[in-house]
Amino acid sequence: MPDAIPPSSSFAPPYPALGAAAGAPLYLTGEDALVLTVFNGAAGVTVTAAGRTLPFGGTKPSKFGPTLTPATNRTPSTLVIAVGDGWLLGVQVLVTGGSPLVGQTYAKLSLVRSATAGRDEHYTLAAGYVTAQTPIAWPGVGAIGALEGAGALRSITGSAPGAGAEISEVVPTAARWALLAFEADLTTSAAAANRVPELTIDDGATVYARSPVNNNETASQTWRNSFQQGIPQIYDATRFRVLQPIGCELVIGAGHRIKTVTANIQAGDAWGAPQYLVREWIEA
Amino acid sequence: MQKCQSCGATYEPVQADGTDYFHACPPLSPHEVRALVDAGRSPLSQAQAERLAALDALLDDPKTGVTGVERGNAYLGGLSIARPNARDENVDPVKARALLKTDGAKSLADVDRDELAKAIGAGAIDLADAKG
Repeated sequence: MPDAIPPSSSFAPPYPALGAAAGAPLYLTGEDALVLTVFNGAAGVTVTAAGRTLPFGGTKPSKFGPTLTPATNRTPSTLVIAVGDGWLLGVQVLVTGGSPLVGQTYAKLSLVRSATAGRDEHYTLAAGYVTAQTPIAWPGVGAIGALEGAGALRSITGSAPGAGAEISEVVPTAARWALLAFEADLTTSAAAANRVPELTIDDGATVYARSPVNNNETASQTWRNSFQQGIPQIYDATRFRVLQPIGCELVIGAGHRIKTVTANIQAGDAWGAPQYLVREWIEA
Repeated sequence: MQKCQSCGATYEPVQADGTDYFHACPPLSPHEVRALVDAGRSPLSQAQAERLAALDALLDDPKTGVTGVERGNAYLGGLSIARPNARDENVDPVKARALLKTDGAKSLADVDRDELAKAIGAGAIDLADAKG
């Protein structure tokens, strides 16, 4: 244990360079630890927390660099980094495996008291999205919220419903989407009826936005129904396409659904797998 | 490629970019609701059944030709009735928290998807395995 500092003494780091850094080095007791928490939606990601400490009474910095392979379902994965007693000189968190986009891997580095379960989190050293080129770091970056920034641009292939069933895509747990475009083919059976698709968006139960297609799709046809931001309604009977506008800034939360509701859908009708473009953030 | 045994949908559990995809069954289509009603397993409340009967009984619209049954179908489509034994692969936050806190897990990376799913439903099969 270090000698106690007399109460009347002003604090002075034991190493001149530390004083020159305007107090940035952070004193840690042996009971303190760093905790890296990562919320990730991308595959094959490895995150490394690399940093340096100056052990108490030492003059030569020590380095550390443990890695974490986070879950890919946006649930939090944690890594406790015991750094001993001394001064934390600096630490950065960077993706060292995989290639997530900005918006897919959110990291938070915290100082905690006690490395065991039930630890008290003192404060956040740094937080933000990390990639292979963009770290978060302390000191310097600060904490950037997970809903800030442009999000990750994702093109998603959804489920092809069973015969006679509608499309229903759900925003995954801990994700937030901005819907930019959505399209799918409806192939109708020989049963006579005028099918009229509609795209609806609900909160998991109650619809709050909808865009009905102004087209009767009759028997034995295949029409592509394309919903996009910033386009007029276009009916193209040559290419069998209907273009339909959807609202801009259509931001939807986890558990919300993007569904088709097709008037007069028949048991033998078949929606194809939808393809849609979203911007995605993690609700960390 | 997987096939949901609850709704018959097919999907890739992993997207082309490597990210996970979480299938969830759609609500019942009008014809599926009517089939359940005909089979004596109506998912409709009394009020919904009465409303449907009233719409089905309407005369054809002379201007548009829309029939009463079509109005009934539109009503059923808007109800968004959950599919019996529906599957929802999305992570159940309660289950995730329980594993992370109660069991002290540091990560759920190796936990089976079905263990975290909101609802397993009738399960899903791998179509490649089914063909083999």
